[in-house]
Amino acid sequence: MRLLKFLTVLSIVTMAALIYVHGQVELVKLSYAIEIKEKKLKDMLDRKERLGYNIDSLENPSRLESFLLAHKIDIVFPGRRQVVRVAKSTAHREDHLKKALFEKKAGIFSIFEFLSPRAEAEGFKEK
Amino acid sequence: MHSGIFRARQLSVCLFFFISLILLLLRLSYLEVVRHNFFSNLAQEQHTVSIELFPKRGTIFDRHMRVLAVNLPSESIFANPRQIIDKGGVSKTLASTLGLKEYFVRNRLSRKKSFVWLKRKVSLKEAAEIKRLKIEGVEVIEESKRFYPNGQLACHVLGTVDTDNKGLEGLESFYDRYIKGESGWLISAQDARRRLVESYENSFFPPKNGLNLVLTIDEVIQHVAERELLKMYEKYNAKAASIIVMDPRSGDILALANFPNYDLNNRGRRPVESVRNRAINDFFEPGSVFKIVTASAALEEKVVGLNDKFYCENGEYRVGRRILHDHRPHGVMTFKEVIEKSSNIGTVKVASLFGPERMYKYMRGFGFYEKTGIDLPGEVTGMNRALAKWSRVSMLAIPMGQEVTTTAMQLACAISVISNDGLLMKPRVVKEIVDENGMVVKENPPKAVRRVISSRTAQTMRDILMGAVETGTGKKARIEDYDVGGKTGTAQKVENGAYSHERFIASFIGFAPVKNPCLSVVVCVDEPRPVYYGGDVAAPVFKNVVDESLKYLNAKAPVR
Repeated sequence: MRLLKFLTVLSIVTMAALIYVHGQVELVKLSYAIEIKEKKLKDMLDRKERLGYNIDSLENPSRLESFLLAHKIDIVFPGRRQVVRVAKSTAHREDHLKKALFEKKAGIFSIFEFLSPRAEAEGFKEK
Repeated sequence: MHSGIFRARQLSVCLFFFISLILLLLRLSYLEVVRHNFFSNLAQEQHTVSIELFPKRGTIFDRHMRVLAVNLPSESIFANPRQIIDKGGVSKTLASTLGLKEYFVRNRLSRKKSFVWLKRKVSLKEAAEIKRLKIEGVEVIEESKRFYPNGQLACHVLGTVDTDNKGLEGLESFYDRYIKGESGWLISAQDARRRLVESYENSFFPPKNGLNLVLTIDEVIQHVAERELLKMYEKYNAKAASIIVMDPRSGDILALANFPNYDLNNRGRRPVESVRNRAINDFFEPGSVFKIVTASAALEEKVVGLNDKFYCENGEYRVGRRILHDHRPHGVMTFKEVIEKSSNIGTVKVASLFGPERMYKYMRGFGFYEKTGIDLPGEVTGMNRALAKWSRVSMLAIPMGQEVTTTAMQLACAISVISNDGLLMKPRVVKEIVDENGMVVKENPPKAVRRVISSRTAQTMRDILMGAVETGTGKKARIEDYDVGGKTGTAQKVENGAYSHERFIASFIGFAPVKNPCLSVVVCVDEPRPVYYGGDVAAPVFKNVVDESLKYLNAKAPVR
């Protein structure tokens, strides 16, 4: 009877120890897997940064100009007389009108402007 | 009797094992209890590693958030000489792979150390080759390297960093404390192969990445300015050249370039003469461009009217032992014509109407006695004498830009006073400092230093300088679609204590559009040959840069 009890306790303790050790081993395995994934993620982020840099280099104004020159593509800005400014839309005109009205209103109260903080450059003083 | 002997032997064996057990238990207690701390720390040292986590250096953007400088991951090669047996063979292999001298590699591998650098921040190809070779004792470690996608664009503004990413010049140096960031730490467990093991006991202090700079520089205007300056620099075999494009309303530097320049990605190969940021590091006698100060002073002090007449002595004017010359003989001219046609004699006569005290006052007002305060390192100010040290003949030289020295940046600020209705603005290169998420951490707002001249005087000066371009010495700065104003200058350099007749500094300072200027430009060319006049050398650069820049900015201006 005593022997049976002793063996039972021993088995339970041994099982608990084995479960704990198994847990620790799984933990270490997971950490290795995480490290591999993290390295892969980092490599991809680094690659993305390098690609971004390559795009910036390709969009370099000097390089674009050389490319256009090499392909004999001549681009010039239009002259002022060649540019026709399209009239603004109705909605824009209404906004503009509202703004003008507001400014007109503010004009009435302009006598109180001295109360509002305003930066002013000081005149030059001779030393 | 036999049972007695047997029992005695039994007891001796038991006693022997019992004593051995006691001794083992005592030894165990000694190791586990008495020497606990020692072995615990030893295990901790072997299994725990602390790794410094380097921060990412901040990125530098232009005003439209286009990248001008960025850090990218880069690998470096190191070796543990103690692990390398065949040093000769390994040296030969590494030297050919990394493009190094064999004796250099052998010297490194002969050191009695466990860590030596072989080559820092190598190319992807070199790193891949070293990894492929799998040489015992030679390993690759990751670092980061500074890259500049536009090569030499704005090289003097951006500056450079050293191998350890510490700013050495330009903005990289000036704002180093903001963009370098702070290291973090990772304290982690590692296995026998030095692989990190994730554990709840790990301590992680994240690094603080550097802040990013947003500049006032416009990448496109910078490119246009550099392209046009380079064309002129090569055409006239100049010794050096500088250009500054500024928004006079805010002090924003839209472009700043010097020649000779260098490729930021190949710092090690740059010539010595290309290092200086001449626009702020060098001062020179400005010559006729300085007449804008004299003219502004005369108008502000109300000692002249636009149509007041001055006799310009037909090109030669003797004052005591000194003879003043004009580049072309003139007779009687109005004050306006004196400035438009850049008469030295007429300018000196105008200056005599208000005297040295007021000349000095306006020189100080325009900022020629102080640094502009631009946020770039190494700025100097000209060596100008205090009023008390002026000689009797100083007023024969200073009003026309001799006996006075200035930097190109000071000239840019001076012409901006006229463009900006008389207000002197502090120039700025950095608009704001932002964090990784784009949140503004520190702003650098435009700052008005002082009012130098009245708005009316500034308006009058703009009209006079427009005349200088329309009918005066600056005709080659004229633009078809916009009204521009400016002043030419051709200053003799000093050689062996006297003014040279062979070496000149050609310059042009101007602004556009005249009615509401949004650009101020200074072009300075050191020793152009064979042509050396500011109107011929510098004015066309101004014209091309301003023409393209205004169209790019879609500036609104009355059609001519």
